[in-house]
Amino acid sequence: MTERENLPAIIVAQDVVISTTQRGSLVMRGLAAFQENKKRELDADAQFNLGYAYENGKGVPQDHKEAVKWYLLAAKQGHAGAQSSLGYAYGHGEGFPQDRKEAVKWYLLAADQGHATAQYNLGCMLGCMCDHGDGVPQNYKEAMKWYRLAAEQGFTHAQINLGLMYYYGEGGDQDYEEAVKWFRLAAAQGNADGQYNLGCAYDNGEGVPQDYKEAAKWFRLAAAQGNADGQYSLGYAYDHGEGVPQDRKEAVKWYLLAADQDNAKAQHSLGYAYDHGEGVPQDYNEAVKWFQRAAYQGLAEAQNNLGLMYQKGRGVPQDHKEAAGWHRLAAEQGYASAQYSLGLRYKDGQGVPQDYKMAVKWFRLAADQGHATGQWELGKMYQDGRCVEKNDEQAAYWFQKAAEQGNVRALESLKKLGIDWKK
Amino acid sequence: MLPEEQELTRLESEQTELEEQVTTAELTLETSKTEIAQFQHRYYQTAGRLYAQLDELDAQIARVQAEISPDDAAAQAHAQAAEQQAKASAEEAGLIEAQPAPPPEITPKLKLAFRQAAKLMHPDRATTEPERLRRTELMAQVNLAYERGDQPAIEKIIKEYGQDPEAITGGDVASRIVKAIRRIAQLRRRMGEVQQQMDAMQQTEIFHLKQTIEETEAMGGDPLGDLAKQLVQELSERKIQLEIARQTQ
Repeated sequence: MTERENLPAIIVAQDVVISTTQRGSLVMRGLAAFQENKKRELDADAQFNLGYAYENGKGVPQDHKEAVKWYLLAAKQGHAGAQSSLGYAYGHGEGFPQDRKEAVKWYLLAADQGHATAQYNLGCMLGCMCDHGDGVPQNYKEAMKWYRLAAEQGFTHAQINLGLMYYYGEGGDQDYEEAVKWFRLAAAQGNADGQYNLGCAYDNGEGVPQDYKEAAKWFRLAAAQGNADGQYSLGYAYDHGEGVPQDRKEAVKWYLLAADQDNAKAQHSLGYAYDHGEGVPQDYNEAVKWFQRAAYQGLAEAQNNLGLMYQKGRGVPQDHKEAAGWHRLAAEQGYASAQYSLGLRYKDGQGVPQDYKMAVKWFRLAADQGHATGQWELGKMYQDGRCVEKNDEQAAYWFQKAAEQGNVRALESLKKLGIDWKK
Repeated sequence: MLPEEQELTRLESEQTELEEQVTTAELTLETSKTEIAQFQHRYYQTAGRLYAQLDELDAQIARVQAEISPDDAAAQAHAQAAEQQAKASAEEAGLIEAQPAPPPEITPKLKLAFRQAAKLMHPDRATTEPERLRRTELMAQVNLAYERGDQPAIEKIIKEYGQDPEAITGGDVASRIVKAIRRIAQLRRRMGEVQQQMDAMQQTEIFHLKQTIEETEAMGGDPLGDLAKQLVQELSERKIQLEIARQTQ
């Protein structure tokens, strides 16, 4: 900033000296202005390139502080690339203390010039799931606007995020068809995430008619590029014969690829395959290994299955306490099977002190979610008057619920109560 | 075939070739002129008229400042200069109509040139009808040049009159050879003129501006749009300055 810029406007205005004599024709003035702009552009380009070299350690030692210094010089001259890079530096605290407000400021300058990366990054900052409370309020509408501008320029990441916003109805009404439109554009450009998301749309019949074959096609394209979600989904398609002929071996192959990339669902499915010997020889040790990896990532199904392995002593020494612990983790996530299992542990006092009250609590949670065996167990608790007041009506209610799902023991119990229940 | 007939054939084919070259050169020149005129119009419509507005605001600011300090001679002179600049810019951008050029001064030399021309090529002195028509045409050009006060143009017509191949009417080989030689000389002269005009045109500011802008546009830029944005920004700054100056008044 020059000293002149610091002066109050009034002094500057009085000080305006117009050297009219030096003004040539309008054509001459235009020519001079272009030459000046060009020179400045060249300077800005050189500064940006130097900043880039420092940021990425190309030809010079990597130095973020030095990088932002050069970016700042170019950015102040209106260099869109430098403004975008500066936004990134502020957003990620590289060379500066992190300052998301500053980041947005610089991204905006570049985005207004049509810089696609800046538009995308701006969308990411404004469309963030959580409000950081740092002066950058979440604004889905704005995020969508910037994603769209970048997406229209063919920026695939922006196309996917825009598609996802439509898919989840963020910043407007949920619109599967619009979501599919953007996924498809990204997919057509060979973007793996776009291919995976398009596959999901076909898999679920969202925005397009359900078509497992088409889903498998897109999952395969994504999987071939090493996309873990795509690999898991393709594995699932083979596992269940959806859109491809059922082939458990092929399923395991894709699960393994995704599992190696820490995809929790694939790890769980792989554990399940080893547990049941589907597509691989049964191997409890391997099953436990994969259940564990998925369980540590917090996947409720895996936690529940790991609990069952401890309970049965498969691949691990039998340990009811450990089993109950894993069931609890899964149950607390609202996973019905785990809630039922935990209820059972309390009823039988396995791994936890026997506690009918707790058993009833967990059976009820499972039963409310429609877990048939849980419903029967709850009915039994009413029938036996354990911790709840004996109540044959309630018992019959839950037996019927379970019987509706074809639970055999519930049918027995109903018969004993003298209720002739027919589906 | 007689040697002079062979020479005539050679000369006539040279003439044809030269005629083709001159036509091409003239077409190129005229096309460039039109393109430049179109570009100029575009430039004045986008940037030029904004420059003119800028100058108009500057003139207003200067006027206000001159009124604030009536004893300041520099301020008065400055205001006047600014107003002139604003007027010139507005004229150039076509925002206001330029004053018509003053009528030309009739100098004794100009009169002399006209007399010479009239004496030499007056239609009444023609002996044949085609010659009379040719002279009438030439005299019309001389009259126009005189009205413009364009002495060199009259002198040029006189010079060319004597060398005009059309003056040769004979159909014999000798006459045709002379006619062809004159025509070739005339074409060479014309070619030189076209090239000169082309060179001169390529030296103009507007040509350089056109080139600069079209190069940038070819790379996908919008230099005129960018300049316009820049100027609009300057305009709003000037408006604020003018307001401040008025409040000080």
